[in-house]
Amino acid sequence: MNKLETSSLYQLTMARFRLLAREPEAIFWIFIFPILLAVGLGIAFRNRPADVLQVGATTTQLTQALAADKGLTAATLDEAAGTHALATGNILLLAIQRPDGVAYKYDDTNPDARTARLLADRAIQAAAGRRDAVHAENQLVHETGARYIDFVVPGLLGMNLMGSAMWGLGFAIVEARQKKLLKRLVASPMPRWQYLMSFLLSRLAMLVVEVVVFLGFARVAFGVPFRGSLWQLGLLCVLTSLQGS
Amino acid sequence: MRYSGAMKHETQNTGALAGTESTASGQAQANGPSLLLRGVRKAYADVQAVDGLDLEVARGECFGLLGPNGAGKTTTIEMCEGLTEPDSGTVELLGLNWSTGASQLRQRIGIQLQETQFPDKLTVEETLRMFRSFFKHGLPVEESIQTAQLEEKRSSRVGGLSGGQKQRLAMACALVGNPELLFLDEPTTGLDPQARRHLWDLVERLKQAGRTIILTTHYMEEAERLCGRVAIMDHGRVIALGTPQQLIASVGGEDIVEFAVGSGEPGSQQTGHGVVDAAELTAIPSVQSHRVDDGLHQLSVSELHTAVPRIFAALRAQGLHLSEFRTHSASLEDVFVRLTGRNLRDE
Repeated sequence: MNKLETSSLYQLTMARFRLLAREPEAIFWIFIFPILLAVGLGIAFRNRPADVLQVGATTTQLTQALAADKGLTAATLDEAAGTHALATGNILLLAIQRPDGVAYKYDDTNPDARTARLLADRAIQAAAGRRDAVHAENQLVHETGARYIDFVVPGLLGMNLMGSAMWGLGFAIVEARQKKLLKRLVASPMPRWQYLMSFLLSRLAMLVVEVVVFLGFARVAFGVPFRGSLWQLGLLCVLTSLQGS
Repeated sequence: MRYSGAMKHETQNTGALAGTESTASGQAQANGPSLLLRGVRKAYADVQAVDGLDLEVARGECFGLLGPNGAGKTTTIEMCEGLTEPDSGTVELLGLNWSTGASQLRQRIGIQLQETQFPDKLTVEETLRMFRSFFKHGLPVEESIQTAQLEEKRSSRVGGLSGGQKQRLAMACALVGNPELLFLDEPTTGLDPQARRHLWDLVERLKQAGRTIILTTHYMEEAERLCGRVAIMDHGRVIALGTPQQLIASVGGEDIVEFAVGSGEPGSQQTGHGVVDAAELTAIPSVQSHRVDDGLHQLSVSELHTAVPRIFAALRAQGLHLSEFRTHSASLEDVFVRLTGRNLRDE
């Protein structure tokens, strides 16, 4: 213990820890902010169940045929009212009864409208008696790992590591220089490599905490899965951190 | 728990130190000067900061480098500290030079720089413990805290210290390696008079402990009080060197008489200044010299009691009325004024 207390590398590294721990803003930006950001983005961009699409039809017969599809809700409108509803975005598609069949009025640049066109046509054809040539069934998959949050978490981690490395190392040295502390240290018998090493050591220790806390949160709160080996994650984190500084 | 352990360790350290010191003093360099500068020059861009400096400081001496701002004091002291490389000339400390003995020198000198800001969020003790760890041998942290009289502030953060306390901390950081040679660069600049006196007491104690101290200052009274020998610098050169008493004696008189005159007629004060016939004043035997600075006449006088009545008489004979009259003992300030024709405060 005594030996450690008089080691300059230990003292320099401890000074780094103390300075960080006594800077409440730094603690916020390093530990709290990325978690807040992950929560915010995770909620804002969470995957929703497929929407039910609003459509309209000019006859009750067509409306019933359309309403039979679970993906659609249908209303009966005359052509003028339907066109107005289309223009104001209340419905995505208007099915118009024509003497020779059905006309679909929709905006083909809107993906939802194109989906509505497919669903509406299928519903109307089925009501008119069309039968599927091949029997088909759906198997639904909601895979974790392909959601928005699963891509955001590694990105936030990288940003956070590089950011804290830059502020914690680059900026701290610039500050020491401005305050002439660097000059005073150089004037003392302090081995210069130990000064830089103290930054690296404290960075690496903080890195472990940062990564574990943030990824742990992502795992618990969002169920973000981890694939790949731990040492690769560690190596990547260290490289990111060094690059940031 | 932690303290007692650390202290015990450091006590052992001092024991070891006493041993090394006695062997070091037995070495050949013991009689050589602490500091030796020969023909040292340094230029920054087009400014010749230090222009051919020769200095020699003996062991145990408290040596003052004096001069106005921009005289080259800091450049000189930083070349001595190995922070700035001279363009030419030799710098030798304790018989070593910076190109071959740097790591040994760093262990043996103590440095206090102008305006170092230690990290605000570390405590006094943590800061000192950190600096102590850089030295192989040195004082126990405890002792340096006591010497700098920072016991009560031991666990305070540096950011909460007063200017004087910060300066004493800087001093403690310079002392913690138990240096043979101590550099203090304007230790009292910017401090209030009480803090300054406090720091002077500290330097006095260090002097009595037999350390070699080299300090820069632009306060003449500080140099007069603390330094055994001073070099007055101006424009990168030493313009006077000696003990404060020698330098003051070189002014030629022990006392300085200052006066201003009005002609007595209202509204014509401006012309009143020019009317003083300086030749008549310097003709008085005990008046050594005369100069005018912004309407204020200064005479250096060797026998105040005989000179003053004669000065009064001479001025009355010229039909002048005194608007101001005072005397003081000659100081280093007067030496500087005499050598450069400028006041220190003009800078």
